[in-house]
Amino acid sequence: MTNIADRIENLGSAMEPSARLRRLGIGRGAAWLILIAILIVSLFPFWWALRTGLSTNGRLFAGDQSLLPVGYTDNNFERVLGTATEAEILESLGRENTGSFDFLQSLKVSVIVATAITVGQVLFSAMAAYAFARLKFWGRDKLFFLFLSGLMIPPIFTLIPNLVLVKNLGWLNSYPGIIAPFFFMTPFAVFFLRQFFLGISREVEEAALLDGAGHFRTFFGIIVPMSSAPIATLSILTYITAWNEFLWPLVVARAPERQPLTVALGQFTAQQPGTSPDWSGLMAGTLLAALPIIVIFMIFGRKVVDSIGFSGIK
Amino acid sequence: MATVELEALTKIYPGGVKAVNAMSLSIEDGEFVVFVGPSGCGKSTALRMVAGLEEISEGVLRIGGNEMTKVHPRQRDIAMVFQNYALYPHLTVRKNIAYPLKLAKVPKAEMQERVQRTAEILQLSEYLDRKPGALSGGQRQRVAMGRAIVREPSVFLMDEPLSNLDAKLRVYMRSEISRIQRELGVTTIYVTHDQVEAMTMGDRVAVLKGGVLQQADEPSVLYREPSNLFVAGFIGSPAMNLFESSISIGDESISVELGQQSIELPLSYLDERPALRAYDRAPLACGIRPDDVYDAALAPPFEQRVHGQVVILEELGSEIVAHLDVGVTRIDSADSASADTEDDFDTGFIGRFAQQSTVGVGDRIEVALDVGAIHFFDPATGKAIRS
Repeated sequence: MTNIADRIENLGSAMEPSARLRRLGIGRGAAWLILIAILIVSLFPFWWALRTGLSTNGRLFAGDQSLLPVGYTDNNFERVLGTATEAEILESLGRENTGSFDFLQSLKVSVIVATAITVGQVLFSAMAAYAFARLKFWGRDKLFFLFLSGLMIPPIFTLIPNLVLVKNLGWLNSYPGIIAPFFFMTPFAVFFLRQFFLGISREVEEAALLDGAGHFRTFFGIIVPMSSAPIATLSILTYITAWNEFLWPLVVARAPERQPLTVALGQFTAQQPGTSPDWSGLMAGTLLAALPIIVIFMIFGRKVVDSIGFSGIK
Repeated sequence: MATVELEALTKIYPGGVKAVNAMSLSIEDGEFVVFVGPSGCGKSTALRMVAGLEEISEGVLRIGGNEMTKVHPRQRDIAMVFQNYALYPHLTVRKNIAYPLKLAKVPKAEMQERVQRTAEILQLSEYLDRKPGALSGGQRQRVAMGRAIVREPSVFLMDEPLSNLDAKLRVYMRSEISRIQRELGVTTIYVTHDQVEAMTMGDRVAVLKGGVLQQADEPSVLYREPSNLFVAGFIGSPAMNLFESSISIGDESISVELGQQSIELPLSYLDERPALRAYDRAPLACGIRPDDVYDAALAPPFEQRVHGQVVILEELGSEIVAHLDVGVTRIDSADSASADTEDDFDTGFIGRFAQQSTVGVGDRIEVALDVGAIHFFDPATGKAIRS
């Protein structure tokens, strides 16, 4: 009995500091290994795109599976940006350029569309979220849950009705046509901001009210600045989603001068008779199209992660 | 500066719960009135009705003689300090204090001058360019005060403004708020659940229970002449000893029963409280403050004595609080907050003895009572038996 009791008592102190360190070291090592594996899996597609973008099409079709660029060339990027000469195109593509598009024009469309959607969606969602969080009106909560149920409707269901509407409005091939369905708000954005607004102390709003502020001033002067972190997060998420939107602009913007990058890049996959898709051009274009978003995420990524973690929305 | 009149002010929440029930109170110009009571007694709701943050269900509110019952909060010329300070975290101290002036479109030069002056009163000048997040609790509290002061309102409303501070800072801020209020002379309504805060700060203290105003009087009057059992039990720490009793009016004296023991009161007592005659040999509630219970060994100048056994001793240095078992049946004053802290024996009696007392736990001792300070209450209504 004493033996057992002693052994139990000694259990805690049995593990010497060095043993404990060793155990910690093994755990830490395993965690790093898993992390590195995840990192490789996440980053490999980017590397593969870069490797393909820096390769010549001819060598790619020859079946070279090297991890490094095959037949290294930067002509593909120049081709996408429209700065390559005919000779360079012929060298990297092995034929005449058939799948080119105006990169800068599509970049402009992407920037205008993503910015307009972000500004509109964040502004209107924030106002709706504030109303759902704070204003008192009949049926508020029921209305909110009805609105929230919109999250369950797959976007594909609304594609055709929206297309008919936009066509009847005469907005095909126009900025309003591309932007309209996303401009006002999404249930997710309203839900996301409402959660934050609910967490803001009511006393702050009451103080503003007694200081002489009305609802609009309280909202724009107090609530919005106090919620800058979640609003920035939502803005970034909205911008990325809008930037990556493919299906809707594909159906409403057939004219090349109104096609955002996501749609315009499709040119590279258009197969010509007797030729194969221009993989290296497509990868170069894809990387260039993703660049603005990568830069935005590198600058604000930490804020987004903190904010999402804080809101409990994962 | 203005008077504030509450006329049968009532708050009924959906579902019929009455948070404040026909509260009537007239507050003088420049007066500092404290609303005090246990949690859920309606004190904050009453304050919020004055502020306009809660709709008034019934009754009339007047500020400066003008009816304000349905007037928008910002038009009531009041300023409020909240429990959690309610500062704007994205603005500096300067901008926080200036915010109400900015909304009132006060000229910039005047605004700066008033902010500066307010900061000096509150000793905040060196923190003006900091944000609230970089301030301590006491400093934040002062900023909240500053935002209220800078507007030069007719009435200050304060909702438990010190409850988030530590004990030492609370004592300091208590005197600071009193000083500032005296300096500015602004009518102030202050809400707290802390009776020490209420008694030390208020010109008058309004005691609430269950949404009903129990008594509104100067602190000393509340202490000496509580109007009912609840006030008697709520005001004072330790609380008043309240127990079941009965009196027998004889030819020469009045005999007051204390459990198995009794004390004698002179017949002249009836001159001051003639209503007591109606309770001859009828049950009533009796109360005596711990301050009026003395260790007989120290030869106090009071003749009436009872015996009891010391159960607990709390030596506070300057005095000794003795919990005695004298065989009385205690009465619950319906103050849930103090009920939690009372002794778990219901025959108890608390005495506040001078530090010279040498009593020990378990001793059977004799205590002297200052019978002039004894209180009687109607056991059915709880009202004090006085006139």
